[in-house]
Amino acid sequence: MNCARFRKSSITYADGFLPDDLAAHMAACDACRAFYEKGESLRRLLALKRYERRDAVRAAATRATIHQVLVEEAYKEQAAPAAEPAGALVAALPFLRYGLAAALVALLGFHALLISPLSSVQSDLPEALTPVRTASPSRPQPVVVRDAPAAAYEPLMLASSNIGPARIQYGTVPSVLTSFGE
Amino acid sequence: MVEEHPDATGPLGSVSDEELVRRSVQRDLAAYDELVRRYQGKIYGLVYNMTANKEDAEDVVQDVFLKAYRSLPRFKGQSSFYTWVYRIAINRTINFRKKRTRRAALSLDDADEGIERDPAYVELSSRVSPVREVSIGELQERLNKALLTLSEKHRTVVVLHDIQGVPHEEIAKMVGCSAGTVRSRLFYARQKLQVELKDFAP
Repeated sequence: MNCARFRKSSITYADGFLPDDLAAHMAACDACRAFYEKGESLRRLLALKRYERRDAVRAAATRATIHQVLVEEAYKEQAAPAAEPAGALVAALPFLRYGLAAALVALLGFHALLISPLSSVQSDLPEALTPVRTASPSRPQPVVVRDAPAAAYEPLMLASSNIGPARIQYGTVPSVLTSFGE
Repeated sequence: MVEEHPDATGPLGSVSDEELVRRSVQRDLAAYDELVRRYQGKIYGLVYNMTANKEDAEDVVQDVFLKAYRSLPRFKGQSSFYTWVYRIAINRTINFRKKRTRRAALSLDDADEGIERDPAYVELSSRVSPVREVSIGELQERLNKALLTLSEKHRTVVVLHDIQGVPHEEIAKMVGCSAGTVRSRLFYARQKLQVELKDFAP
């Protein structure tokens, strides 16, 4: 036991109730005894703050406020489930839109299959990046980007823009000029 | 801190903290009211001694218990509710003081008249020292000002250990460090306070 260890350890023990090794050191070391007694004096001084009395009216008001806030939150929680169906519908709208768009594309594809191909439409597809000629040269030229030849009946959307004419082609089946929302 | 007198005849007075927490998670507000009743005095004492302002302390106590209620579903029961809510109180108090843009004036609670019969006060008063000429209110003010000279982490351990009597191991769980670190901080804090209060604790 040395003084540094005594001083660090003794602060754990109040009112002189020290373990034997610390008590023995303190009995033999005047400096550490003075250190311990100073610490005890400070500790007793700080402990006088335990007599500070909280205002009872404020304490009751704080408890009441806590209770009131939680009651209001509970009411809001109970009211929230009634709005859930409407909220769920609103949240689902983007998915409904995508679903409708996908259904429209599928319908148009089936329509293309049922209509005879135009004679002026090319049936073989370009392998690489190639501009596609349309019936109206003044319209924007759609660009086809392909990494590999299209498999038979693989749907391929060729479009230059959302408002220009577009072509849909499935494998070797010739494409049909189709206009989207012009 | 003199505790408010609890309603000893309350129907939930004998229910354990664990059971009250379980019921509170099920949104039983009466159970949570009982937990607030049990611990708001101690939490107030901690926050008041950290802030030295009774109005701020009431605001923070309210915030602590609302935060605790909302966080109850995440309370795993690895520590006692008491330790857990103390940890919330320490963090909220430190955050509150950081957000405060200007230093608040001291606003102190009154002291119970029992202080005049406390052996420590009697001993201090009987010494030939400024304590004899200083009123209890001024003594409180000096103590609070001395505490405010400490950093938040040092003030926390002094308040918990020397004022509220919380053991080192419990303080370590509350502040999230080892018991050795708690002792080191206490050691340093006491050295500083002895300088600040050398007139009262020679």
